[in-house]
Amino acid sequence: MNSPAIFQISEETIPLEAKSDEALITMFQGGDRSTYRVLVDRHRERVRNVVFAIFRDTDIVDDMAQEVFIKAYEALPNFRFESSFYTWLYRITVNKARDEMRKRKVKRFFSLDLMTEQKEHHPELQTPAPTDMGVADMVAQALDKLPEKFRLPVILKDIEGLSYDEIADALECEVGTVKSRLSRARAMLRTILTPMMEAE
Amino acid sequence: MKDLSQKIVTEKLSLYIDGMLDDAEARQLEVYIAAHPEAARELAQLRMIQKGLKAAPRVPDDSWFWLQLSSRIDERQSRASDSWKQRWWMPAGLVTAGLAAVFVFMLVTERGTLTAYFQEKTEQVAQVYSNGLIKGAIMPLISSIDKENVLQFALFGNLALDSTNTLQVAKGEGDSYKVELGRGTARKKFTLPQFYAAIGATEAQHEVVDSILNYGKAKIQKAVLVGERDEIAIHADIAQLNRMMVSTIAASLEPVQRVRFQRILAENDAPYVVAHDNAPSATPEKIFKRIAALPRSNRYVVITDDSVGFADMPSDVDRLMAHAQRVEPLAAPRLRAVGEMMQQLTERRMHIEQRLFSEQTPLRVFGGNQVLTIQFEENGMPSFGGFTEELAQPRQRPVLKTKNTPVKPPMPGDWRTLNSEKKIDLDAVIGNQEERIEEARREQKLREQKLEEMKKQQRKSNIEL
Repeated sequence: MNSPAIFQISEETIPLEAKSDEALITMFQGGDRSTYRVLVDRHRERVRNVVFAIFRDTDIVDDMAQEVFIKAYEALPNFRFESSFYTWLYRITVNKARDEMRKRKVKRFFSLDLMTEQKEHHPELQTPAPTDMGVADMVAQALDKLPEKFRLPVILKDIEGLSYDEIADALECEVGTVKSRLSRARAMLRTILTPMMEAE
Repeated sequence: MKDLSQKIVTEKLSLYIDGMLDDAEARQLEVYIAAHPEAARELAQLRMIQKGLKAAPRVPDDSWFWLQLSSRIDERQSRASDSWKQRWWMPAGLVTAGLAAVFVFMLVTERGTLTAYFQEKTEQVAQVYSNGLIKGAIMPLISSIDKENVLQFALFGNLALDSTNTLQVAKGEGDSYKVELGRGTARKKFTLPQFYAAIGATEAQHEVVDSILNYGKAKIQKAVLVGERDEIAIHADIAQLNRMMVSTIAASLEPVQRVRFQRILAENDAPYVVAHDNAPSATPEKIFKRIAALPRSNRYVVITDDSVGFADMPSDVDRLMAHAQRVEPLAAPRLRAVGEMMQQLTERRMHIEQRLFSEQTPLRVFGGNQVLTIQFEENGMPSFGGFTEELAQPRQRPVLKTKNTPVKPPMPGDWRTLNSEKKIDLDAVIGNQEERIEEARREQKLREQKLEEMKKQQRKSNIEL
């Protein structure tokens, strides 16, 4: 007698897109490099948006995001599943961003005087009046003014929606540090934005 | 509740808006906020800031991200694996660079001869044309086309005729090829720089691919002709032109670049994919010789408002193409007329099968769904062969059956019945055109003779004086 047909879902029948990050990484480490594309497609927008939130410069977004994924590709064979793949990606992104910010800091040091001089002579370069800007723009401008160690937790929490544990993992610090930096960063933002918010 | 320091209030409010306080702490803080307006104001401001951050602008999606990334990864890996070789083979590298320079030189010189064929201007034909003797008798529909459009055609087999009509070529079922004309928009995905970057092409390869695209451009420009009475003539070769271009581009690439090319085609659902091949890139000289030796045919599929068939067009078509730019302003009204004709055909939703002209080149035409489909068997066209064909293989995909129903026997008054009684009139058009060209040539010759005689007389009178 024929046995009834049984539908079984084996690991092979699940499309790559439906597999977890961990399963894809395991396949990658086993030699199947095609899984990397799925990982990139899944997380590229996060990485690109973090880079954009940090630098607010579209010219740098793709180049830096690609650098992040190249670094991840090279390091993935040694990934030990001690954190989630995306917080690990955030960590790489943050480190790349810090390198870039260091480079830019040097450039800014030399160009600051010039900018001040230009602003005095060219009114169009002055910070726009609050009434000309939306809240999102005002907050983004204020965020740019924060030092990097306060800016990054705010971006990861309020823009990217990471948990405190994930932020601590991405920034390689304690959860307590994340709490205090977030609190101080928000206080700084309030100080910068209060005149604008009251003017509105 | 006793007053808290500003620092503690700020910390607690920050945790509160993130939902990080436990229930008891949260309730305590809410009581405090109710009793302290400045804390309530701070909370409102923190929420507004958080809302502003959540509404931060996002970067637009970049569909090129993976292609660029994978190219960079490939490049990084091949550089890493080659680095030791470079150290040990420095002299060989110099020799290779020297050879490459020679190839580039040859490429430039050979390209001139290759393109000369298509740009040849015959004084006689130019005069015939400028005299207005054959203007409007037959003209190219696609005279204005850039290399990027040719690239899209090579990769995806489609070409925009205007904003709503496209020409699409594809491999049909079995050994057949298909050409479709009708409603649709051509895909445009790659600019040339993007394409070169994605395959990692060298400067020398740019030149080769440019030449292949120029060749394709010349072919496409003379592939669709429109007659005086809105007949359409489509060069049969165009159906496999994109295959030839994909195959030849693949031949010009190194194996690792071929893999990238293969990936681009696969990821973009292109009709052809590159067959696996580890052969090194063919030299520009070899590619140009092969292209120059491709079989030439003047075989066109000719469609009128009531018939369809193969016809061999006069060889003057090649020469006429050199003057295509002069008729460009006339292309738009022609295209509208052709569009109307196709609409008439498709509205009648005729399903026809034609074997009028040659049993060796069976031809089928389907009308329907605002698209006119012409399908012909491979044996009706010259085979390109070699690396100009074999490296590009039709993509394996489920065969999509045409929506058209099988051909039914003709009914009285049916288009096919009419067609069998009324043969294509295009021979007359072509014959008429040939006569007009001949006539113009004779007139030109007479004018030249007269001019020569006048000059002789002038010289003679000068001497006498």
